Amino acid sequence: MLRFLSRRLGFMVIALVFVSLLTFILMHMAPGNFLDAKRISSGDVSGDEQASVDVIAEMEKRYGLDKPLYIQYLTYMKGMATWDMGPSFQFPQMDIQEIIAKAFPVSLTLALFSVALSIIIAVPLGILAAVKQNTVWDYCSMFLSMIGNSIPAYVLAVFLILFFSLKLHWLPTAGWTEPKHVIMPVLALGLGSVGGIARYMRTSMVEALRQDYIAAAWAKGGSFTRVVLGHALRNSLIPLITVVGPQLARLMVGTVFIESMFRVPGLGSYFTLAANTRDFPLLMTSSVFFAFVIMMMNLVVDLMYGFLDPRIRFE
Amino acid sequence: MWVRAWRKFLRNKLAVLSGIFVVLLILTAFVGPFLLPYTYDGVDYAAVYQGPSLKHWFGTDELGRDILSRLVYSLRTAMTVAFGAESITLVAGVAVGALAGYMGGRVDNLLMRFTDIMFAFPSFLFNVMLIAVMGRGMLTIFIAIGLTSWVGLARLVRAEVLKIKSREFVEAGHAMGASHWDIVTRYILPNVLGPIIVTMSFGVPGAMMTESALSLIGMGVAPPAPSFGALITAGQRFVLSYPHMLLWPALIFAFTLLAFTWMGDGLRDAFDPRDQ
Repeated sequence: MLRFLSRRLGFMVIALVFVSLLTFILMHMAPGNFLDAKRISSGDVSGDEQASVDVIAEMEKRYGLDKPLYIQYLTYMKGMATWDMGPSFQFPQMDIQEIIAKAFPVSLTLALFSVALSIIIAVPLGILAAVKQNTVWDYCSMFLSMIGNSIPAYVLAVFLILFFSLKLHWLPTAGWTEPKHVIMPVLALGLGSVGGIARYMRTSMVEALRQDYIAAAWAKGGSFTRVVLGHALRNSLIPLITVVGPQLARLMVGTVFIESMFRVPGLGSYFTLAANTRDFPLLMTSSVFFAFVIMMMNLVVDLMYGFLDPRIRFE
Repeated sequence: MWVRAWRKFLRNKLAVLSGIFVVLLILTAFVGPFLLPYTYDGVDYAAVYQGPSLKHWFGTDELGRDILSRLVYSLRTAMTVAFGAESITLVAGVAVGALAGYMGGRVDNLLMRFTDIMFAFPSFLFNVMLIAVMGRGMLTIFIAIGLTSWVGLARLVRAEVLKIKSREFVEAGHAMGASHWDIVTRYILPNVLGPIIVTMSFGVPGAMMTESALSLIGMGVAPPAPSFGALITAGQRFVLSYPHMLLWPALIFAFTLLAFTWMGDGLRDAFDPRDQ
């Protein structure tokens, strides 16, 4: 167990260093930087050349951009390790850890709500599809999984907007100021996963219902509630974690587009902004942080799987 | 194998219909632009925000550009990116997978650790950064998608090669003195072709999704060139007044993706070795 954990954590550290190096190298290969963009947008190009050169030099010094590259990289890494990354280019009045602390809960809320929503719909649907095979429930779960597999959340979001905002006038088309704004992003993200989880639930339920102990439970005169919801459900829920975990990680990435569509100020929005404006420190932190969250989730899923199913041994 | 797979594919009506639809889409994307009366960037201030009419079948947008033309060009963008990205995936995935599976040992270990890291790295982040480096454009987008999507294929090919390389007919090849290159390309890879085709057929809609997702967040093809993602972003801004600007791009894109996926499903069933 301890060996398994230390090996996985070791791999994670290597992968994160790889991610940070790659991000850093790509960032510095990119033509132009934040200061160039700033200079052009403020119209300094035609104006007082020397003054603007001085200003740029001053800013470069403040952000440490005049130092050798390896020092810059190590500074970033030290900042991330001590959770003190300094100000971002785009929002000079804010430290990056403050931005992350503000934006990450937003993304996490979206992801957790959508996973919860999809589980709440998918588990009963999967059970019904397993118990009543080849009925409307079965086809319903099949249809949903097909939609979820082939149509991305941001296209589902379009149909939600057309229905809830245009047709019913219930919900605003975008924004993030009142509770109402949470509904559509969560629906768009969550509905896509319903089918997949339901199909998986169905398979593992069918498997569980075939076991001898279920036949014994029926023979003893157990009711539907007792046999299906008591005995079979408990065992068929274990494999579910393997799909829900990666689903959660996928949702974290999926939030990037949904956040941009619904103008939600989450981590994805800041990542997009950082990449578009060459905000190096923010881009560096958000990409490493994203990778960290996703790898961490995968690790937690693997651990939970082992705790819930005693047959699994970590090695 | 081919005849049997083809017969099985033909029995699946949904897959065949989707296949026909896919062919029509490809024709539309590459021949359509020559037949259209309008260009994708032809601004007409006298005809902004028009609903569907005989002149503009799908209406016009905020600059009076014909939405049908923009949709056809979006389809072309999506297809070009998808096929470009898939060719990179095919070459890199098959090469790395075959090398790792056939050579085994240290080469295998090294290549597989590398794919592990690539797998752990959220490919979308990589795509965004690659595009930030190389600039926005059709070519850079498909290179970025291609560079991140070969990992899955490489793993699949490796697993298949491992399975096949110990079979008798490969040993017979060795015994007859065939070179390593011949063993891989003539004995092993033809037997992996089925799974490769299936993966590729799911890869195309996947690449299309990535392309339009990138364009949705402003990292896709540079405007005024259209893409489904850009059309959706634009349409969403005017949805309450001019819903046709949002409806058509989403609907056409959704059906395009569904057709590719259904065709892929049909191919997967057709090449499934488990039921003969």
